[in-house]
Amino acid sequence: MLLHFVVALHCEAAPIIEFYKLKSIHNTLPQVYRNESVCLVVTGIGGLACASAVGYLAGLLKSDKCGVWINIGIAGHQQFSRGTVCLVRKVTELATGKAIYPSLPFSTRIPRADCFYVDRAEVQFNENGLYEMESFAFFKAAWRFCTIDYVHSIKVVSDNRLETAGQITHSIISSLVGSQLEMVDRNLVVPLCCIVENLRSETSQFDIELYTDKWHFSETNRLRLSRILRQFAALSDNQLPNIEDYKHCNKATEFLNDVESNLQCREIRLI
Amino acid sequence: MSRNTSYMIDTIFIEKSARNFPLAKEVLKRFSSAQHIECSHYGEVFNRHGQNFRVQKNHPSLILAVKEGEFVLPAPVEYHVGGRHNYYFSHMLNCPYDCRYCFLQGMYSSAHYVLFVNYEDFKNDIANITKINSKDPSWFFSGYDCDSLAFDPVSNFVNHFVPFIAENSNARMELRTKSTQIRALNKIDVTSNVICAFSFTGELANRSLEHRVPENSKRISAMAKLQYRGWPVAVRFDPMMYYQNWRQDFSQLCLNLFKKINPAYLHSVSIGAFRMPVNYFRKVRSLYPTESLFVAGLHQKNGNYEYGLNIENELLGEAQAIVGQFVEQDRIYTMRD
Repeated sequence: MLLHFVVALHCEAAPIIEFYKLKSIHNTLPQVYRNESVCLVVTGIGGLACASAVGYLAGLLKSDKCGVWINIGIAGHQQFSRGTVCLVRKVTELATGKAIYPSLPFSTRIPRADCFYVDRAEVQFNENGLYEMESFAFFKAAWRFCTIDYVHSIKVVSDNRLETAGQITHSIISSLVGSQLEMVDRNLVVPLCCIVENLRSETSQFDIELYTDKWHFSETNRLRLSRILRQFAALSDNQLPNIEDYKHCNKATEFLNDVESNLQCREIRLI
Repeated sequence: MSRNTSYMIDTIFIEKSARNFPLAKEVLKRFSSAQHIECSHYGEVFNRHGQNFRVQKNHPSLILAVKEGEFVLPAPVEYHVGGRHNYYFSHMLNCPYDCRYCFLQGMYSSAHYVLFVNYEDFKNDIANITKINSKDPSWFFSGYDCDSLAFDPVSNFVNHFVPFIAENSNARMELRTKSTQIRALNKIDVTSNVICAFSFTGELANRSLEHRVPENSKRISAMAKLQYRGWPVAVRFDPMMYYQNWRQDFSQLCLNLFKKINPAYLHSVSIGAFRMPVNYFRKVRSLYPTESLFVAGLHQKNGNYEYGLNIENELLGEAQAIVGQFVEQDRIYTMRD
């Protein structure tokens, strides 16, 4: 799975589900939606719910290290007007003072802001930053499953000192999130997915059955086989070792050692 | 990506304790439109697990930090150009270039630049060491974990350190660089105890392995300008890479180089074959799984991945002979473990 959305509320999820044309997966709790390359989990409110839903989704879809994870949700702010969208650049857990720092591997037009993670809805907004209840836990959990640089959080301001959270309805939330999706897709989702897909194309797996049918490979040796095949292909115009050249090898390790020796004798060509 | 160094930094992390250093203030002023994000310690951003060096290299952030602990360290035994007391220091971690063979890719989990702003602490350490080794000059190598000059317009390293070394007759400093960034050196007085060492690989390796590094011809010109002004200059052929036609490539490089650089006034030449600690090598290989450089001819030996003895002897021996056609042998140093 390439792209994972993590949202707290159904009303935040609705426009994303529509935008990416996701379908519900039945019998899951938390509720999960997906298409071929995009999935979304509705976590419920709060850090604990968010972290456990991230773990659930990663397990359910067997997500690899190269997935993009994006948290989208509403947040409060002292003065930012309702509808302002921000990419989180630092999250501080107010209760402990601990902070974490997302890493963005490109420039973006989305404004960036500090964020404060609290365990109950905030009305005072004493600090100059976004206030919300999931992102710290989201980052901590998602970083366990993928590369730090691919994990980000987008917040849309729903309330401030003048426009309180009490005045907001589900449909307003859906509209706030929905109105920013195209911009978020263009300026965050697409660039991140491009980076990941480019790297994935380099590590695409070769068809190793030809070799595993002939020799027995332990799990460790399977990994070594993938690496060696990739290196062999890099040095041989994408050709793989001809099994006929190695029919004298009785064991997988003999085959791997032979191919590796063969590689070590090559001279590289720089272009 | 352009081959010119770019300082398009749009995110700066600042350690709280670094904020009031004059250098930090200068940098923050220079990049006033960048995102300024305060952190407690640079390790919170730089040393985390799970970062992708390769991905970050496309868009590194700058971290302004205060260096703690030891500022100047003893250099590895083989790391010298004739001096008895050899040390290195890193006012910065990482560099703007993206050389495929660089060990920093394996050493650090992050490609962000860390600039230590407490230069005075480095200087104090240098001064103390030179006092301790008062009978002989002490050598300080500055381009170990970074490029000494590539970031100079931001770090102002030359203006801070070269006059300081110049005042200290018992200190020698090597500025090691792949850049053409000589503006600051051109504006200050020449000093005989600062050596400007330019590292080169053959044209093919420069083009295909040294991404964002200026072309050899431009760097040779920069070096020639410094030599013309009277700066001691040196050449570093380290690491030497083994590839088809490396010999012709290297010979051509030497011809081009010594057409512009007067070997009679060259401080030194050092030659070293590619080698990398095993842990770093494995990490770099996994970052670039289709890079042929990390496959052919390399063996695990003495905790390093390095060329087998035959290749190493061929590289070092022949390179020494080629350089020897231009430079006296007593100024050629080979780096062998």
